[in-house]
Amino acid sequence: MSEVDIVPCALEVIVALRRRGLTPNDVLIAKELDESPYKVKRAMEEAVKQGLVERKNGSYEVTEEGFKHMLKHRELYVHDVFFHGSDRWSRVVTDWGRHWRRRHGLTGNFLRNFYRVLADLDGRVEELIPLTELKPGERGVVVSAAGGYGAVRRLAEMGLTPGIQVLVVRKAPLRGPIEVEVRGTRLALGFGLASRIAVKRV
Amino acid sequence: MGMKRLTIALAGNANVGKSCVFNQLTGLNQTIGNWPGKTVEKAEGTLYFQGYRIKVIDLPGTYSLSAYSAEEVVARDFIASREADVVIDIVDASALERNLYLTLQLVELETPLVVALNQVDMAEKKGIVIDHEKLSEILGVPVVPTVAVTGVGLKELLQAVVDVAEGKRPGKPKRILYGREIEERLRALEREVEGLNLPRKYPSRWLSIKLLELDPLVVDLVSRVEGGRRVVELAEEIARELEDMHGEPIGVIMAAERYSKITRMVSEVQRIIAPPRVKWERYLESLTTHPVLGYIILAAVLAGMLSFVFYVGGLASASIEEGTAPLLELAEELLKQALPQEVASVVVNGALVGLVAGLTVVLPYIIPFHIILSLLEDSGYLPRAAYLTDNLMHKVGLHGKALIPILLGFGCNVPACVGCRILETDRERCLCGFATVLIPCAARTIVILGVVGRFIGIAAALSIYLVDFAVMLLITRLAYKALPGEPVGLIMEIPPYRRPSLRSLLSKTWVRTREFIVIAFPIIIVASTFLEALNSFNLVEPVISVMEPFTSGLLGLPAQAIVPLLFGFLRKELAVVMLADALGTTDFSQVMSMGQMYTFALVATLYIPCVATLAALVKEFGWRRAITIALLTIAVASALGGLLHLAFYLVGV
Repeated sequence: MSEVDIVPCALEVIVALRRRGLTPNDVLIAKELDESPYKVKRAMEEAVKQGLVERKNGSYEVTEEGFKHMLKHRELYVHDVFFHGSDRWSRVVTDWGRHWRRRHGLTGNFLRNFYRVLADLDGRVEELIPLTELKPGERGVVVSAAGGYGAVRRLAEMGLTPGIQVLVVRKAPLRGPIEVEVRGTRLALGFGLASRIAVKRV
Repeated sequence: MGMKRLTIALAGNANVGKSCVFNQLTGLNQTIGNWPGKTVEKAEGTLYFQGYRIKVIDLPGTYSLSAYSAEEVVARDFIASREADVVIDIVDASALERNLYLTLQLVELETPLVVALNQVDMAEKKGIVIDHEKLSEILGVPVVPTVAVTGVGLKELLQAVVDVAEGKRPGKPKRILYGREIEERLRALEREVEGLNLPRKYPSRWLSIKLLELDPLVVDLVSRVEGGRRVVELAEEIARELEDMHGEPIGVIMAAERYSKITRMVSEVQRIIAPPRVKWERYLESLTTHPVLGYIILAAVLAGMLSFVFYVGGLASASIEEGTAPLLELAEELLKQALPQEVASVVVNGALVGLVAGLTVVLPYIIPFHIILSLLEDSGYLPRAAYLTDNLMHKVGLHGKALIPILLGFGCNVPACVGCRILETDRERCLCGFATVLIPCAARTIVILGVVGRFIGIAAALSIYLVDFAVMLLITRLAYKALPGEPVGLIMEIPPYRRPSLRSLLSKTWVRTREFIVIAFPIIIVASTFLEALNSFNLVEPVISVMEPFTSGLLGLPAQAIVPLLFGFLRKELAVVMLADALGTTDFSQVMSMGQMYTFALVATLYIPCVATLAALVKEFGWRRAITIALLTIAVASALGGLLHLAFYLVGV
């Protein structure tokens, strides 16, 4: 990871560590990110300069500005991974509200909830992967699902609620449906639908 | 007779053996129709038990009671109407957690309830043991373990129903309390709802829950009454508040809330004593969904099915026609003596030939088709087929399951239309219905090959197929946009494989075939008689001259060509026979130009589905949609025919 890329990740780690009641210092952050403490220190110095974090007695606190920066990073990640298949489309987008609505057909109500999920996310956003990324035999915990209201709700009614563990049983070839086991039953989910379900690998 | 009457409704998820329970309870004493105004199947039956005449209504299989699909609305309206004295909730014991989701919603509706814990044998095989007495205690209603396939526990189930109806056993479910943050808000909402003067008596707690979930139908219902608007606004405010707390849409929050209750219940009543053993089901499972072998098996199953239906059907059809021919002649002889010549001919060639035509479609094709369809449905193979083909079918705006009716359509559109019922929602059934009626069936193939293939060339014949597919795609696309409802990606349960029961298979086949006969035969006979009457009372000439602007003007065909087109409505292949008849020669190339023949074949292929298909459409989708499809296809056929005429005229073919 380059130092520029470390900053948003470090922000997430700091927020997560604080939530757990720990004091995030360079060493702890480096351990969480699996990077050298020296690199992290350099990145954090840059972050302090930008006013994203404050340094007190060797530990860090994310500023309001930093939190916003982190949210933007999360939004970009989710956008690229879940909506454009990692093609880094987000670099050319300027008006985000408009882009979500026009290009992806998301409603204002959905966006409100979406930002809420992003803000409440525990841990690094990179841990979120589409359900379709899991291989047969792997397990994941559902974090959230994006899509039309009917589809999201239907998924919940069939048992795919936030926090539930799913096991990927098999995947059909050529972006076909994915079969998962959830709450003791097997479900087949269309590829498009499943690729918008955010899970954390277990 | 002083028999006591009772009405019970069967509710439950799909694939829990609900139709099996229904068949075991009612046997052949059942009728299948549609719920008023919906393409949702309504099955009703009666049974006698301990001096009671019990009417059993089989509600559509649903996973929930929201307003997601026509099925759910039908089921919940019926339960909420209190028409049923007791509701039996059929629960799959091997998938208790997911099944209790519906149970909880039935509890919310506060209806007298009996839970049938079905397929306990399957659950045992999976190493699952359920303490049904404990579950009964938690829910406050009787819970009866059953195995519907073999009939185990059904007597006890009926006994529990009667006990609940007589008040001997408590059947009113205990109220289930949700988490504090939701419960407090529900109470507040409930107080407001109680103050409203609603036209029908729904449980106010249920109304509050549905309002909170912003269920469109309940919101509509409440906002119509005085002061209702304010209550709806309050519900919206509360929903928004909860959404802000959780960051999920309210529907998801409520689903998660119900599931958290269910998880706790399940942990109290269910024990898993042994891991599931690897058995033949497992091998079959991985074979039939294998990325390579799966498709080979699918192809084999489909080929087997098509050849069974159409080979067996073709044989039976031919022998019926042969067998009835002398009878028809005899009938004509006899009738001629009693009636004037023309009338006799109308009766025989119209009504009787129509009847025979119906028989040659129904008995040979519909019956084997229903047998195979029931087999595929009951064994659990259909979801696997859908899983394998979903990807492909999505490209044409349909689901994996639509593969079956589409393929059937190539043989005959009638079973294809009937086959659309395997799709889950009203919207999908309709889309699939639109697509299936335009698939070039065997009869259309006769027209295309017999006119264009023979006299113009095979490439031209193939191009008609292409045009037909293009029109099919276009109409399906249009319908995709026009039909109400949100297109939702595939969310389908994959039930375990199981052995189909012969009893259920036979009774399904019989009941469905009977229903088809009742609807389709009158239509076929009336249409056939009408056309024959035109023929024998010399009304053909006026029809030809009346239709001339259409036939010659628009399509550029010989004026007589209207006659084969009219008769093609009866059976598409008649168009070729009647064309020869009308033109006085079988060598069409002598009297028609290449352009005319091409236009004729294309129009005959596209315009109006044949009368038997139309009858099937009426049966499955109702008059309105059937007529819409018919008019739409006529319009498209005329427009394309007109364009072709113009094009050929300009090119000079």
